[in-house]
This record gives sequence, structure tokens and C-alpha cells, in this order.
Amino acid sequence: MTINLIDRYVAEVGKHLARKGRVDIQKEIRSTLEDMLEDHAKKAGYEPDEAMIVNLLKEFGKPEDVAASYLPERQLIGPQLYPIFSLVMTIVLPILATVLLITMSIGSFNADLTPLEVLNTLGRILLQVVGSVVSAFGSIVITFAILERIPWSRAEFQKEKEEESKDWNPRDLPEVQDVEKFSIPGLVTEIALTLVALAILNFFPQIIGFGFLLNDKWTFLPVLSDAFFRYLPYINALWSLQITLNLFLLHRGRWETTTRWLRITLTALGISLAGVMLAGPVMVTSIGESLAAVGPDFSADAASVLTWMPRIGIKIALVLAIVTGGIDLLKSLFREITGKFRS
Amino acid sequence: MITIDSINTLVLLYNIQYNVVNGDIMTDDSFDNVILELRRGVIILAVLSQLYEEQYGYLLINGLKEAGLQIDQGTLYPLLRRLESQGLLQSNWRIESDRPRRYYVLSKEGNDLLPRLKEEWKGIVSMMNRMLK
Repeated sequence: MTINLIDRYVAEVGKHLARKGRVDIQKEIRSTLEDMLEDHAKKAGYEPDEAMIVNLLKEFGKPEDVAASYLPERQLIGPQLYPIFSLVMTIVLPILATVLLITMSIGSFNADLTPLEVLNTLGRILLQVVGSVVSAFGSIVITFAILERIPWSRAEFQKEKEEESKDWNPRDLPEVQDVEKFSIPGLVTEIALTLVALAILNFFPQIIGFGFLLNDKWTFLPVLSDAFFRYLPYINALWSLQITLNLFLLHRGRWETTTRWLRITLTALGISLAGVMLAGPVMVTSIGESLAAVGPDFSADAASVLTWMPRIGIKIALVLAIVTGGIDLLKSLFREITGKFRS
Repeated sequence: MITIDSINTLVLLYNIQYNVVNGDIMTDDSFDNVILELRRGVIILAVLSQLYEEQYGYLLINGLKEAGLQIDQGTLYPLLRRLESQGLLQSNWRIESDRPRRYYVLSKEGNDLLPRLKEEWKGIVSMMNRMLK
């Protein structure tokens, strides 16, 4: 438990440090904490317990304050304001980027666009999103740089921080999570399932549909319409890139800066494509008409249900893909920005 | 051209003006801040002076404390890294008592610089003594 608290503390400090030199600083902090703990235990005359560790960590300081002390001396935003600046950045920028990406994608794409027009639109959207994010970044930096240079604001923040430090409890530190590692079986499963899905969509799309007995005869109705197949080249490209990335990850054995940004890009593209498909024409054929062709006695209500069910199902699946992709994108950007802005 | 130094000077002047206008110039807080600034000025020299021989951070904190200079780890460790990046110190990790410890010592450049810094310090001390008489 006690060692676990130190692990959690060191991991938390690491979250607020620049990637460069992070491991080294964490190693040194751990070594110092262990030295201090030994010293405290000697003075107290008993083995370290949880209360002793908690006091030691409180004495050492809040993780974000400890990390902020490693900032370079000359800076636009000093250690007092930096943790708040960093928090604002990590919340505002990813949310702004995601919201802009989704809203602009939904408004700009439709199924009638040619591949070149899609690329043009995508490029224009990405440029606008990057421009807005850079502009927001600049505004936040300028605001904090001004705040940094106003004595009363620094004093206010300092007071607030001291209050927070008093209330800070090391027992509330989150559990250690190694975000650099991933599950190999999970990745292999993902590759296999994506390959299977690609094979079905490209070579056996007719097997996606409804099968039923009609007049003692097995009948099967495919559900995917022509509108869906207009998106197939983009789905193929996106999923092939995803498989390539996953294979590369398996080869490297861990996440790296390049692979992390590739994953962020693919997730953003995936969300955009899902947005386009959601806003585009219906991707499921009218089952009612097909049923009328194969069996005129088929109930109209059943035909209606069989028509809207897959349509709603696809819409729900796309919304879920956008929401889960958006959350994943936010988390990844949060991790990246947390690391980068401290360099 | 606006440089960081010129901005910092303006900021310093603004801070002084703010403190004077608000009647804070001679409060305990201001006194503490001046003392803090004075101590900050000597920390680098104090740390360098202790590193003729290899020491790890916590040992150095205790040594400085015994000598009368209390410095917290949040100040010392970033300073040690800065001095190392400036080439004045060098460090290496060693395992001792089943624990990795980072040992710091003056580099050749640091060894060359320290006597000059000491001379400069003696000059400042004698100048201040004359001024404060």
C-alpha cells in the first residue's frame, strides 16, 4: 500500500512533466522520496506506515507543483499559473477541435461529392480547425502571460494554490496506468476482425441482410444500398491504414509519438467519415419493395419493421462511432497536449 | 526590439509601483520576498561550493541545512538539472543500498568557474560591507 502510494505519486508528477527527461526526473524523485522516508522512519523509530508516507508526500508537495518547479527559469507563464494554464489548455483545445471537426464535417459533406471534392473539403476543414485551435492557443497564452505579470492576480492564484495544497490528500492519487503499453491479444483481434469486415464488405456484401423462410423456401434479402458502396473506398482506405498502424505497433511493441499522432489522425478521419455517412442518403435498401417482389403475401407491417430497423440500427451505430471516437480522440489529445506543452 | 529582459524590467517597475501604491512596500510579505530574492542569489554558489565531491540530492539538502541554508527539494533538483545542462555539473546514477541514486559533482568547467565565482562573491561582500557601514 505504502509503496503503491509512492508509485501513484511519481506517476502523477510524470503526467505534468515534459516527455523529454520525464523518466529521469521521476526516477530521481522516487529515489529522494525513499531517502526521505528512510530518514523519517529512523527519526520516528518505527517502520514506515501509510500515515508516514502520506505526511511525506504532503511535505514534498502537490504533484503538479513539483512538476512545475522543473520549468525553465525564463518563461512566459510561471510555475504558479502554469498548472491552471495547462488544465485550461487540455480542456479547451481538444473540445474546440472535436466540436469544430464534427460540426463542419456534418455541414460540408454529402454523398454526391467526387473523391477530389471530398479531399478538398477535408483539407479545408482541417485547415480551418487547425487555424481556430492555433488562434485559441494564442489567446489563452496571451491571457495567462498578462495574468502572470499582474501582481494581484499572481498573489490570488498563490493564495488559492496554498489553500488547495492544504486540502490535497495523497490518498486520492489515481492508480498507476501504463498508457505506453497495449494489449497484444486485443490488437491482434482488432486486426483480424477488421480484415474479416473488409473481406465481407468488398467481396461478399450480399450476405449482409435478412434471411427468412417464405413458402418453405429460404429467402435472403441484402440490405446495403448503392449509397453505402459510394463510401466503400474511404472505408477501405481508413481500415487499411488502421491495420497497417496496428501491425506497426505490434512490431514496435509500444506507443511512440508518431504512432500516437497517426492514431489521433485516423480517429479524426473516422469521426469525419461517420459524420458524412450519418448526414448522407439512406444506406439501406427499401426492404418493403424487395419483399413485395419475392413474396406478395408478406405482411406490410413486417415489411415496414424490416425496413426501418436496419436504418435506425445503422444510424445508432454511426452515432456511437462518433461519440466513442470523440471520447477516444479527446483522451489521446489530452495526453499528447499534456506532454507537449510542458516541453 | 522588445526583449524578455526589457519586459521583465518593466514588470519589476510595475510591481514596485503596485506595492508602493498599495502601501505594501514595507510589509512582512515584502520583507520576506526581499529575503527570498537575496537567498535565491546565493543558492547557486552555495550548491556549487558543496559539489567538489560527489553527492546525491538528499545528502546535499541535509549538508546545506547543517551549514545553515535551508533549501527544499523543489528548488534544489531543478537547479541541479539546470546547472548540469549548463555544463557546470555532471551526474551519474549508481545503485546504493538497493536504491538508484543520482550523484552530482562539479564538471571541469564548474571547477574552473567556482574560484572565479568565489572571488566575485568576496568582492560583493566587501562592497556591501562598505556600503552598509
